[in-house]
Amino acid sequence: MNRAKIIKWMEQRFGINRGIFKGYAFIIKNGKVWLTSREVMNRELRGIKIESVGLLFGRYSERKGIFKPTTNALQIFGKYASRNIVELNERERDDYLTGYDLEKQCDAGEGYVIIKYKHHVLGCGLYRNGIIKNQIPKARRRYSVEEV
Amino acid sequence: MKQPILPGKFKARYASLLGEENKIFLKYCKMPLRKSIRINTIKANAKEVVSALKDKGWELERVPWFKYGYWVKNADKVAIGNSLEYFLGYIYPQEAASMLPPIILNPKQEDFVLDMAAAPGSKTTQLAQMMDNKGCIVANDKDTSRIKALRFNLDVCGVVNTIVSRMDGIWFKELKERFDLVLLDAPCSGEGVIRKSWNVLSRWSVNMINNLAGLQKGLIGAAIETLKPGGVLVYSTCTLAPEENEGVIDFALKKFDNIKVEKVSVEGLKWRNGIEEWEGKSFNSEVKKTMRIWPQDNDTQAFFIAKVRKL
Ligand SMILES: C[S@@+](CC[C@H](N)C(=O)[O-])C[C@H]1O[C@@H](n2cnc3c(N)ncnc32)[C@H](O)[C@@H]1O
Repeated sequence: MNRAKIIKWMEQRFGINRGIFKGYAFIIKNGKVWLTSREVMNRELRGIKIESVGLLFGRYSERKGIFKPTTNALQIFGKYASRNIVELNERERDDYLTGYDLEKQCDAGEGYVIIKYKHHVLGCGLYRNGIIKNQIPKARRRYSVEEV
Repeated sequence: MKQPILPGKFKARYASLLGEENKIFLKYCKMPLRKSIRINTIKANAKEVVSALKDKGWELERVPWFKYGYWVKNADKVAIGNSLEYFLGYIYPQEAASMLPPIILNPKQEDFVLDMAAAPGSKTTQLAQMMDNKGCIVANDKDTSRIKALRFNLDVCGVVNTIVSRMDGIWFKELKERFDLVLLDAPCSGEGVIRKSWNVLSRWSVNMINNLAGLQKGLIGAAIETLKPGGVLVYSTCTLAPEENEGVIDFALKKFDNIKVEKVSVEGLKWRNGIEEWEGKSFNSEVKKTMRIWPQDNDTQAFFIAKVRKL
């Protein structure tokens, strides 16, 4: 995995223009991809016990040849996408945010999709055989639906 | 409604400072805290979010001292943590007084900032937003499980300019003159958050206050060492205990001859000056320039804030 491959993947899968990632740096390590700014990489960090840098952008498996963007990454970059986007109605939105898979025919290709409600990017989904497998991290799911 | 029972020692503690007003102070200590949110402009268009929330029936009132802070007046009805806006990282629940230390630190886009005791990241995410996700923040904490919450909040808020580190803050003393700005939102006895969590009272004791003061003195020393000349340190706590506040600043002024306390002012906020004397001990009169925020002054949690410049 490397920077060029990630950017190419985002472009091929979602139609996100590669120029969008210009000011960003990727840190690729142990199956994880972190996103930060180039500025951060230029700082003096000697002596600091670093746990993580920037935002968890995605995960990959070199062996299986797959890359998967995180919901948090898509919430930032999903707005630049032009394909493989699935739009939900209000009921589907609530189901999805609560953690359910959705049965839904859509014109996306099989694989990772961007889940949207109106103009808001909710996050990542995995589309296969008419089912969107829920990819919202457990800690981020809602267990009840808004009251107002 | 259930009310906390305040320990007798606590009830008497600030009577010498407040006089008659002590009753009002204690009354506020027993009142639940008003809920507030910060609009996260890293991900959200503030105007749009405010109007969407209002359309859904949220009663919002602007926090006078932060452009993106709002009290949610009907928070009991709207379930902030379950809202779509929270899920999307457009809003972040944060107590109104807790928005003050970053405002006083006032970071610029190009700054290299240390948030020495950062978890769970309310102030880190606010700093990142104020810096427009530029520059660089080192968000440090020593507690592994709290760091998890910090990382979670940074990711939800879309923060990319931040490095998370896990160290005892004391070790920053070895990294001399590294940062432009340092926020030390110190571990403290938490008297100021009684209104949020009455559990605080079960741990409260004068002994604990004195132990914490020792820790805070170590941390403030490290914060000053790691600051560049000309740089600013904001020291804050959510407690009223002078030992953890003016006492710590007094200690720093004795130990370092290259720092000065700067006067601060925040529009729309009511505060009082730091006190010069406590239980027979007098402090360097510079501590008068610090900020003491009592719960009854703005109907918020209590806070203490000092702005220190390294010469
Ligand atoms: C008041 S809380 C910080 C709140 C945080 N600034 C926010 O706004 O969300 C104090 C933090 O200090 C951390 N802490 C305690 N001792 C520490 C030490 N020696 N070095 C670094 N962090 C420490 C605690 O784990 C705790 O997360």
